[in-house]
Amino acid sequence: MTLKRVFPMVFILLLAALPVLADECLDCHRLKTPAAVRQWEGSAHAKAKVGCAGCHGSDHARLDTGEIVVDQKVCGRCHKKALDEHMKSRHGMGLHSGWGCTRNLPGRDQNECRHCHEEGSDRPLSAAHCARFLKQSSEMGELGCNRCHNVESSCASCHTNHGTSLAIVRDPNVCAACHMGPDHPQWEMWQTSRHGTLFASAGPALGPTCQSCHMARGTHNVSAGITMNSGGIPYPADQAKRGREEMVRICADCHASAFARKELALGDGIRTQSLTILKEAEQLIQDLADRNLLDPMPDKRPPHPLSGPQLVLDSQMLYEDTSHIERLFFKMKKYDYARTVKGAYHQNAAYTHWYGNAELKMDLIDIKAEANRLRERRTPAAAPAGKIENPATTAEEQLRVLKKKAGRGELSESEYEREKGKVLRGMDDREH
Amino acid sequence: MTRRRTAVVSIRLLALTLVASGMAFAAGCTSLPVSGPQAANLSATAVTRVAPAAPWCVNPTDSRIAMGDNGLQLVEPATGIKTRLAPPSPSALAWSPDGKRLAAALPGGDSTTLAIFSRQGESIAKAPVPGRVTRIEWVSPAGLVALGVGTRRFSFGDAITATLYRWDGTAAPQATTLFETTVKPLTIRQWGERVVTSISMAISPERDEMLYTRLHDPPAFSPYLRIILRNLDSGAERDVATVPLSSGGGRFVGTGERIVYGDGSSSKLMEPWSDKVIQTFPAPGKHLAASPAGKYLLIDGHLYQGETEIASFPPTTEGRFAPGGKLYLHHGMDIYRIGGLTESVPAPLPPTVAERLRTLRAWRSEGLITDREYRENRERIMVP
Repeated sequence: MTLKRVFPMVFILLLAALPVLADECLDCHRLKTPAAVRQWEGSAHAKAKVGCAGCHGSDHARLDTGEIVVDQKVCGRCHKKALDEHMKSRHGMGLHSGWGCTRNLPGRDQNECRHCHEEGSDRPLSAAHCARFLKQSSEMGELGCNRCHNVESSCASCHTNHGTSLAIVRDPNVCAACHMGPDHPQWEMWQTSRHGTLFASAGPALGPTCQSCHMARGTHNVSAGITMNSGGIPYPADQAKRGREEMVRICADCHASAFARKELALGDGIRTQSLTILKEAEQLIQDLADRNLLDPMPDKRPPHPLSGPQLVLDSQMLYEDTSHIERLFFKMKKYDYARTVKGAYHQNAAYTHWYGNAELKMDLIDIKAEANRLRERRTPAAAPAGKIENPATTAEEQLRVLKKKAGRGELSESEYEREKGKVLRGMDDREH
Repeated sequence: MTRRRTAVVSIRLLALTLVASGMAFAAGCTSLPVSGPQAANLSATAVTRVAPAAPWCVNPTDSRIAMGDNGLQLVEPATGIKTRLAPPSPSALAWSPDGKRLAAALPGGDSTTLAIFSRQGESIAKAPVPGRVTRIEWVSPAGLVALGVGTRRFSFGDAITATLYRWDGTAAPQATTLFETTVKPLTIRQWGERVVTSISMAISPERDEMLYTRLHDPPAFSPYLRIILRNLDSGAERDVATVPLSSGGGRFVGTGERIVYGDGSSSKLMEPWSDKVIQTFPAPGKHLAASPAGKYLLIDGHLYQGETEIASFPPTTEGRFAPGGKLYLHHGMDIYRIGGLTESVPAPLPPTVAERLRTLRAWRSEGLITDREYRENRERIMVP
């Protein structure tokens, strides 16, 4: 008998033994975790004779200590295609996007390392980190961050631990556990969109679900067809073009391609306009920081977990330990900009306009007013009586502002040189 | 006090010999070998005796010499009378630009006392700083900077810290770390004390910028120095050149817009803000001095006027220029005053102009304006 024939036979014998192994577990676990057993017994896994040890292993001591975790790699041993698709998607970097290195933070669980590192390696699996996660307590990090961001490593976050019911994972409610709330209310947007209301009244035959568009044809790559990053910043043109073609193909299952392109183009336009508003606010805050007018300035407050004592307005911006105007900008960017743009792509008029665009524009008013207040605190009129500002100090501040603007690309080389010339000549005028 | 030694020797260029055998001093004095096309026009007067490698400096107004030899001593050049100010021999000395005060670094155990004396030698102020001070310079009529070097020995090498102390003679000195580095045991064995003495410092004529050498000793490479230009107002630094440990560092030349440094095989006169090399001299640059107006350079004993070598002294000769073309040389056990050089003393800038230029230099150092913008504005400001 050749080895080629021996191995399949051994494998079949092992599979046949799995129910026996499961039976060994069931005697106790019917009493200790009856719901888990019931779910497993009704699952496709039980029908396929995949027992407890098939996923959990048989080293009970290590199971008890939590050393063995049934993560996406365990599932991927059988569900390889699904895992490959999942890992290509934004779900596949759910933890990476939410974490920074936690080893130096107090009260951290050493087991957290496995979320970002292969065992025995200090190389992060991804360069992405999350400053907001690093600011949290362990409890808040676990419940408030990881319960959603563990989607990367936990298939159970959608599929449940022991059930395998497709009815559950094809129901849009399963997405609602995370895709809701002030920062990304996709579920609410869908629910109150034409798609969602049709689903509610006429069922999936007329009303497409989250899965219809984002997991089309059963793919686990939930990011197919997306043209921007999770912060709403457009992808580079080539990548965006590929994403758009993918989404149009998905839309074309129900709509004419031309109609789909037109609808999605409306979203593109709203995104561009909203980014312009957002950029205006961002530049106002950067200008205030350039002039040391933020209250408090970044070097006078707890350092940013990733960038230190610097102004951070990108995707790593914080909602705590910042100045008031940055807090306004956080709401503007993370809530209102996101609602405007995501509302537009989900064809939800109210979210695009009233929960999004209107709030975005009112945020800009608030931010401008706060900027004026901060500037007025430094005007000569507000200076103590008799205190005259040194022209060199004023000129130096202007030169610093110009240098930072040029560094951010807000001034061309020639503009930068011209503006510096004005400052230097103005200094001469004041001296004379 | 010691007896006066006033042997004056006219230096005569003799055939091809490098030793002016005709020069002779009073009993106990050595001669100062000299050669070169203008050697005949120079005179050398032995002023005082001082141990080799001892610190010394010349008062810019009355030529009084302060030196660290058997304590801190002042020498009256006219009479040769020595006055002992303090028992410990200083590790660094500097007269203030107006010649009214003398700063000294007086070592004592693990620390150094920074001390200020009047022209007459009365103690005015003292302040302790940790470690060893190897250089001291005045940056204002009442303020000085000192370069401190601390060393801690470990099995893996010496941890060296260079610190810049600022002291106004009243409050406690303010410390700024210039650099920290670890030097391999092999480097310590090969270079010994020179590892520490290679860390040098020089102050610009306007006293708002400094050149210092930053020591590097990377694994698997030879140790080297980086010459750093630092603006004292802004703290911004510019990496000027990389040189071997044998380099004497850098010196400002003329208005401070040029520097001279040795790279181990030659010496370069350059503009540090444009990286433009103006002239290269065929001397390694271990011992450097520049006259206040930049007319003369002394590089390893070679005395240059512009591009021309006008005289040559022994290569280990240490030189100090004073205003008006005065040159003092330390060779062997003697300090000589060299006569025959002339240099007009530049008129001081009006205070407002000097302040404006100082501000512009600080901005240039931080990259707020370019070197071209600095030069254009300087020209505009300098127009009466």
